[in-house]
Amino acid sequence: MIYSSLEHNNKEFDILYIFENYETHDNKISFTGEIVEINQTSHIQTIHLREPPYSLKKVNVQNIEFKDYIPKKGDIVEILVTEDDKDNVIAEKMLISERWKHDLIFIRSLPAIPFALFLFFRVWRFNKNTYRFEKRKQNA
Amino acid sequence: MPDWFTHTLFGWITGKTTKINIALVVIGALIPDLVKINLAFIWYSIDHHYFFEPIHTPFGAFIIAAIFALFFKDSKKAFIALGVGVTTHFILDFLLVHVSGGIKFLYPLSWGEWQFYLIRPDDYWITIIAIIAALLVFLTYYLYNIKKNVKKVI
Repeated sequence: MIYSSLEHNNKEFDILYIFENYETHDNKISFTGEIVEINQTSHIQTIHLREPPYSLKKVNVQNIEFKDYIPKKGDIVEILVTEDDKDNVIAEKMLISERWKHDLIFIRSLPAIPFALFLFFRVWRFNKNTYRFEKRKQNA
Repeated sequence: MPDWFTHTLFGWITGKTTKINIALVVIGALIPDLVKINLAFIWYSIDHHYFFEPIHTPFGAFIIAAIFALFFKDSKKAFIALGVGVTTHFILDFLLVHVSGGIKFLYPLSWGEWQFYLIRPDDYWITIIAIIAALLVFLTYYLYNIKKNVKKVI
C-alpha cells in the first residue's frame, strides 16, 4: 500500500489523539510505559506512558495470563490494547521487561561509544582545512 | 533494539570478515540509533510526535550515511562501508520481539512494518553471544597472522 505522509496521519493516529478521541476509531494501539500501580483483585494496572501524552493510564489486564513472570511495580511494559470507552482500556498483548533488565540495555550500550570512537579515530583524522576525514599516515 | 554494544560488535565482525573498512562499518551500525535523540524529549516529557522516527528506517539511515560519506575523499567507498553497517543494524533489529509493529522497511513508499519476533529487546544473551563471536573472530585472525609471519621468517 502506497500512501502519503498526510494520508498516514489521517489513518494512523498517534495515541495522544486516540486517547482524546476514542469514539472516532476502532484501532488497536500499542504503547510503552512503566507500571506505577498494580491492583491484583481488579486486574487493573496503572501505566505511566513513556510517549505523549506522558500521562497515567489504567489498563485492564484480565484477558492476559501471566505464566512465567508476574509483573511488578517499576517494570517496563510494551502493551497492545483496545479501547472500550475513555476510561476502559483492555490489554490484548503485553511484553514485560523487568526494570533491571530494561536499564541494563542502556548500561550495556555505554561501552559502544568509546569503542566506536576509538576504532574510528584510530584510522581517520579530521582535516580542518579541507573539512574532510583523512586516513592517518600509518593507515594510508 | 539490541544494545549499541551488540550493534558495534556485529558491525566489527562484519567489517573484519568482509575486509571492508571496519571503523566505518561500526559507525554505520550505530547510525539508525541516532533516533535515540528522542530519549531527551521523553525525559523532559516533550511532545516530539515521532519526528525522529524516519531516522530508524533504512531510507532515513541511508540518507544520513550518504551525508556523512561526503566528509570523506572517496565518498562512494565510505558510503558503501557505512551502508553495510546500517544493514547489519536492521538485520539485528528485525529479529526483535514487539507486541505490534516492527521496522518500516519500505518507508516512505509504505508504512508497513515487519518483524521476525525472535529475540526479546531486554535479552542480554545476544550481547554475550556477540562478545564470544567477536573474540573468536579476533583470535582466528590473530593466530592466522602469527602463522603467516612464521612462514615468512622461515
